[in-house]
Amino acid sequence: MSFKIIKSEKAEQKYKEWKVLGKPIPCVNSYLKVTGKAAFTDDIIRPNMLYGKILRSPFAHAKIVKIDASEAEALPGVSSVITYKDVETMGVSQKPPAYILTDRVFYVGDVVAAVAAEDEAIAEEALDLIKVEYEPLPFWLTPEEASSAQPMHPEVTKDNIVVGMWPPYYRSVGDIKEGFKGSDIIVDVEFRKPNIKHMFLENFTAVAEWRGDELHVWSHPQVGAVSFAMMLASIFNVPTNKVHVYQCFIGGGFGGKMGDAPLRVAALAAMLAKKSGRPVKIRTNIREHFVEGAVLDPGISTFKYKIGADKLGNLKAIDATVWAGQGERSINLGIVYCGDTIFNTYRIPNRSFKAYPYYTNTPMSQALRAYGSQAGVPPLEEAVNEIAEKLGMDPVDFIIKNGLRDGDIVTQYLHNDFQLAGGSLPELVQKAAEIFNWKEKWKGWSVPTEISGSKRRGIGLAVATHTAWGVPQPDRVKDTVIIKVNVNDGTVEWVTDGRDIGSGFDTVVSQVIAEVLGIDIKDIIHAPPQSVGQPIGGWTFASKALQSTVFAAYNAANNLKRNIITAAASILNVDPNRLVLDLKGTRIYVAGDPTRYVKLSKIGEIYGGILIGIGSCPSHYEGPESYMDPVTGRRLGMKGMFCSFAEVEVDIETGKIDVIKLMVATQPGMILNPLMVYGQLIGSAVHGMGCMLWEGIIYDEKTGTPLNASFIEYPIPTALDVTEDQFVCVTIVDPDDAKLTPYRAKGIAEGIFAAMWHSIHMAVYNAIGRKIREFPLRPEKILRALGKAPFPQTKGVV
Amino acid sequence: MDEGKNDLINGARMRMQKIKLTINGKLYELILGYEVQPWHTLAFTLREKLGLTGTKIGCDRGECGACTVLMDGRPILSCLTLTVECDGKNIETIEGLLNSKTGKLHPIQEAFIESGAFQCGFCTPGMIMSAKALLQRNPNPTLEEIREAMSGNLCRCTGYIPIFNAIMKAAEKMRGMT
Repeated sequence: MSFKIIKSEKAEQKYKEWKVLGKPIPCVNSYLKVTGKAAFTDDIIRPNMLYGKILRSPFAHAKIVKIDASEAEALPGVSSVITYKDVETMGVSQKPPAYILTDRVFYVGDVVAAVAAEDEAIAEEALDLIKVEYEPLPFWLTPEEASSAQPMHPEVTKDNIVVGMWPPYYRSVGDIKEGFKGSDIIVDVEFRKPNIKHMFLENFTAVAEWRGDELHVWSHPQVGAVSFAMMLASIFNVPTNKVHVYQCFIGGGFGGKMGDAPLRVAALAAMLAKKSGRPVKIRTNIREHFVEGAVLDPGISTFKYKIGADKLGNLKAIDATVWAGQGERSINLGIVYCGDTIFNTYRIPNRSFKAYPYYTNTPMSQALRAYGSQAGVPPLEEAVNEIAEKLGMDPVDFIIKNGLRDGDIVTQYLHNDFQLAGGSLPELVQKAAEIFNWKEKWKGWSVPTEISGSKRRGIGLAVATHTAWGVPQPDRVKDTVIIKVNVNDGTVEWVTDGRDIGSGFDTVVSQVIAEVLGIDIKDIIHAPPQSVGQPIGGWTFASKALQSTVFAAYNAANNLKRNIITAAASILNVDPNRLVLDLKGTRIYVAGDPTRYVKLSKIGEIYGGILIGIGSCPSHYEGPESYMDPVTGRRLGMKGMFCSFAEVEVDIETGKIDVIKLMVATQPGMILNPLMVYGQLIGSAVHGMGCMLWEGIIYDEKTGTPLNASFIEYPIPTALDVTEDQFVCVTIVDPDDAKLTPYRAKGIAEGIFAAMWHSIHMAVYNAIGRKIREFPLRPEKILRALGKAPFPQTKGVV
Repeated sequence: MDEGKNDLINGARMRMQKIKLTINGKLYELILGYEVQPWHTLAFTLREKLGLTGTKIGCDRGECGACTVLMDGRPILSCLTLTVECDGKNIETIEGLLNSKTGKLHPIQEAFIESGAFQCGFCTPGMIMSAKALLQRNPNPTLEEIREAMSGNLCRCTGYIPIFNAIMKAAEKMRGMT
């Protein structure tokens, strides 16, 4: 296995102390997943259930002038049809960002109507019978077009700048004018990014059922079941405790199942179920996933970065602007996180970042494996590379000189700045460069490392930092875990409303609880997540579970243990420190004298028959005094540190790129489960390789229709595209790199994805000596850059 | 009059066409026009009519491989196969992999767990069925043969390499058993 774990002495010591943590324990849901018994949403079959289908807009922007569903309603087997006219009569609220149905459609594939019928074939037939008269409106796909178009939502904004959850973003630190004045070299870089899809295999699905005024929904949101229930409660104007959300297994998400698309499908199923008086399942297809589901934040974007440095290679100033086509209903988070990337990768004393999110006639944008970072990193790296090249500096040396390191100030959009506690890009890059053998391979900028016939080899690297505490919304998300011990046999259940998306969240939380309570992981289960009766704590996105859910579980387990021990100490009349909790043996005994014990059931009686521990995760701003640096008095925080090294071979006759070697490296703090960490690293690397080389939605300029809405036309990596010797995953393990979590660990999968894209990009540049300031790097772009393409630019927006 | 009615019913019974499928060793007789419609896919019949939801439907158009099952030992895409085409055939699904006597996991399932060969788990039943077909016809595959055999099954989580490792490991386990 090409997985290198380089441990510090401190790390070795910690591993010796741990019994359950640090071990390659397979996923706790393994049995369910390999036997097909893990229940995904589509596996839910309710008695007397109907099947729903959605009619979608063929226009990128249009007003619905007339809609007549009478023929569809009359088709035998059809139970109900809903259009925007039903919204009012059903009391469904249409507050942004949760439009369900309106008399306007904003992108190709937007929802026009929905049908519930006895089977999918009848429902599809009924869709054809709905007569819709559209009045097409002007549409636009790019931020450039949006800036000069007529306002999409004139009631809220005149200039098409998104009025979403987050306002347009402008931030500056230092004085950029002075910074550029003090620069010897200044470069301007413009970069473009297409819309990229998540392409998970499970399409958006929901089952809804009304039992009187109670709404029961089975779905797969990446937000926890409680939060999803709150959103549905507000749409249907019902009390939240009447909305039962059952969170099924999630068939891939990568950020694409965070909010709107799963919510809209669930709301449509609930509307159909209400009108039909029967349960309804909607299972969308791959084309719908393509048109309805989110795209990589921040959508189709243009990045303009101006950056300056002195002769010695010290970065002095950056002036960065991003224009992004965010779709019609974006929450804007990705674009502001581009800013965090620009501010927190290199030490640049004078910085300015401006973000212009525009309404466009495309699906909304949303996180893809890493909010904002993977979009913000390539243009930043491109600009920094150009500076290094002009100075004739080796990129490794340049990063060692300028990279963010322990003790630096991290500037955040949504929160106060903090002082970085652990992790250092220069140190990481130095160690990784040695493993990659960079110094020996590097021949200079735009110089191939090897030439053989029409093949040119080149190497490249890139760095990234990424949030290591989740999306910082302390007012909304405070992860809580409840642990229950069964006094009869000492088995343990833990409760929080989120579902493991595949990243190992269930497993690692169980490992932490097992470690604290001194039991086998086999004696722990995660209670099936649902909204009623469970705390918020399971949002599986933004690299947060490993910090905040694990933190909450750690606190819950310790609270539980303390309560049990304290009660036992008073019964046995001994110092609590002398007691050993033996859950498997259902007793608490005196260390060294196991004959003196008290039964677990006795402790249960004291606490009213039940043993429960509750724990929450402190936010950055509520943490203990130890979250303050004693010297500077500043609040401490963490960031993930990532780098990636690539070696590629480009055939200058065909434009085809082969990735010969891709080495990703990170400082994860401690590794709590190497099997999971390896899985995340290798999965991210292969996913990112596809994004950089092949992926990207192609839109027809004349109609705004995505032209490659399938796995055949939108190629993602297959088994034929990867071999084990292509990939190396390196982790530099030291507890000091993640000082603020109880087990000294932080999330790693997202940032790796952000770093690896540009390493391929730089390697291609060094191989062919041509700058291509966009991706994906499809063969025709390589040939065009080499002046070898007899054919013009592909029609359409890529 | 009664005789006439009986004739009618008997006639209907005789005309009633049945689709006979052996699924995981068990014979199912499904009445055409009632339990099976001519347009029903095998994936739909397995999941919605027989409750065998272990087989997943991903793209529903033959591109992702999540719905892979075995027909007479060969991997097929159940989302592109009509149930009526399967008359008289022997179908194996993920539900049939557990050892029916001991309830133990199949060596491929064990190897997938040990190698971390899945994350979200949605592609896993299809992956395992494709791997089973491969190892049945080739108990000692090379890495190249594994990559080729698995190229019709997409996975967005794992990057495939843990899956290749699992199949190598499963092959070893299965060779050890014979």
